[in-house]
Amino acid sequence: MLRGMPSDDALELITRAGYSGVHCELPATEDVRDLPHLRDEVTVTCVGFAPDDRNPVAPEHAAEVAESLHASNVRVCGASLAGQSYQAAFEATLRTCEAFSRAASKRGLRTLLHQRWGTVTASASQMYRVLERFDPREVGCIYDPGSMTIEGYEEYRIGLEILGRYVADVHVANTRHFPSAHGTVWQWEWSPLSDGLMDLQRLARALRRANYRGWITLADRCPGPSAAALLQADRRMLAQAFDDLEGIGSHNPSRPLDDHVDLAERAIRDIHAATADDTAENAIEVSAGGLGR
Amino acid sequence: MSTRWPLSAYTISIPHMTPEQGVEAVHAAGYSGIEWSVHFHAPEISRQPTRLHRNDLCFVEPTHDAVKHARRLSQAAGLRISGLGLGGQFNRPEGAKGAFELGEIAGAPFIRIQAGSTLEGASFGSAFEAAVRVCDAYVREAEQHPDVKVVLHQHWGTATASASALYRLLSGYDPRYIGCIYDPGNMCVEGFEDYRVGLGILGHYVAHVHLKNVRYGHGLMVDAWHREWAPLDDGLVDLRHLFGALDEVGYQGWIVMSDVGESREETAMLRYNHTFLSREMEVALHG
Repeated sequence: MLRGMPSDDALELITRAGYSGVHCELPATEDVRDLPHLRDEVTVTCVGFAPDDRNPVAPEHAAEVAESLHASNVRVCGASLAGQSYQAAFEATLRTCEAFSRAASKRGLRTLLHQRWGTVTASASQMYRVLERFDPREVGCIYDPGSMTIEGYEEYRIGLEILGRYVADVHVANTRHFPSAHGTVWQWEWSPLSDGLMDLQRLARALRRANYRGWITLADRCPGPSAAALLQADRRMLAQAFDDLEGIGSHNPSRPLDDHVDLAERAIRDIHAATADDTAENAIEVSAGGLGR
Repeated sequence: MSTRWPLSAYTISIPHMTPEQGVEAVHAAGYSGIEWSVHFHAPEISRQPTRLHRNDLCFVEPTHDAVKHARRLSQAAGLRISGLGLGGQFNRPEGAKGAFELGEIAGAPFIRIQAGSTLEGASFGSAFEAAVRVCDAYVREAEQHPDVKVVLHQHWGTATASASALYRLLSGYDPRYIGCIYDPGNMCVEGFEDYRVGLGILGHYVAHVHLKNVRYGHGLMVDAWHREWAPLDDGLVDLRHLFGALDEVGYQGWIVMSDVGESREETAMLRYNHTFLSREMEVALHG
């Protein structure tokens, strides 16, 4: 969401708006020697390279850049189905995760598979098919409710139960949908956090229920407002949802939030496992996505 | 006009027609099959106004006599029964034997079940296990009933909302004994995965396809948009992409029109959707 902005300006905006981390989405050609100050001022949560769905940078180099920025994670995306069968795309995704995991693990980094529409890992269930082959300490995932508004939505509570301790980061963005001027199939566009399919309150409750302790990363691509305005407005939206502040829009009577239900056996088992070997923060922190040029 | 896949109409789409009116209207609109909703009405429901899923008129009670009657009605109107959409009492292990019997009496190739509800707060794990118990019972029973296949309906609010979740369950079984209903409309509520991906994952388990549509809207006093049923030609389902993907995997089954958008009078809806689906198939497959 801060793409194209000089990193100094972006950093100032991020810290002033109350964000404590940043997900760096770098052009494949980025010279990281220009960015050493980043790591001194905010936590670099994860490093990925654009275009995100093509994994344009070789695993060794990607891990090297992430290490130099003191990031703890490096991001990959699943393969797209364009020009290949599902099975071929699935196997290509496994190979990508293996290669990144090898390069990242030896540097003490975790590889995160990013849930993304238009790939074979658009839903939580699809991601789990890939992730179950890996040790969650080495390969985790970015759970992306924004991407899910385009493809891959499964009820947040269910998706988080399926993924368990593979979930390392949560990206929030939103889309709204409208009838097409040219045909019968509706289209979509990026929209503000407060105006689209993503249900932040429901997401916050599902994350609390899953005892999630990682980052929430703002990935708002809403066109129009300035980055500064978005960062501030979204910070308030996120606070309302995650601090459970009541307000207009915080409860939809027709979709009960099922907070009354006891945690499931499986979820409890997974949480215990996660707290035993996890050193993640105790409180949910918020980072802003998309820093780069 | 003949279409790439035979078209059937699901009786939930025509809640105001009696079964007798329904078979006539479905045949007159050009469909070659009919899919019967099979359920009981509780006494309190029969006092409600007639509409979708509320005191609907076009259904069959799950008794041998009622199903025989539906078979006769369908045959007399020149319709094949594409399947039976079985009600809630069949979505449990004890329902399997009775369900196959009804399928045989109807001469229906498919009986539809749902399983593993997550709507009342069940964890994914326990909903999935409940669905496994139902499918185990149906698959055991299936060996005795070679002419009827049980199909698990891809459905929001269940442990099998997406194609990959469905596959996770079905992959434990032989596709000769159990398949699924691939439902792109339900996916718009929960579980949407690109059709080529979903059909690629499910492979031979896809036995039947239901078509309805969904659109999204901005509600009052809430931030998050809601989902609502929509007519087939006004929502998220991309029929041309779907038909292309079905053709790619060599799908040979029925296309069951299950429009619950309630936007047209039912006779007009049946005709409109037959024309619309035929045209979309034609464009998808031949440009």
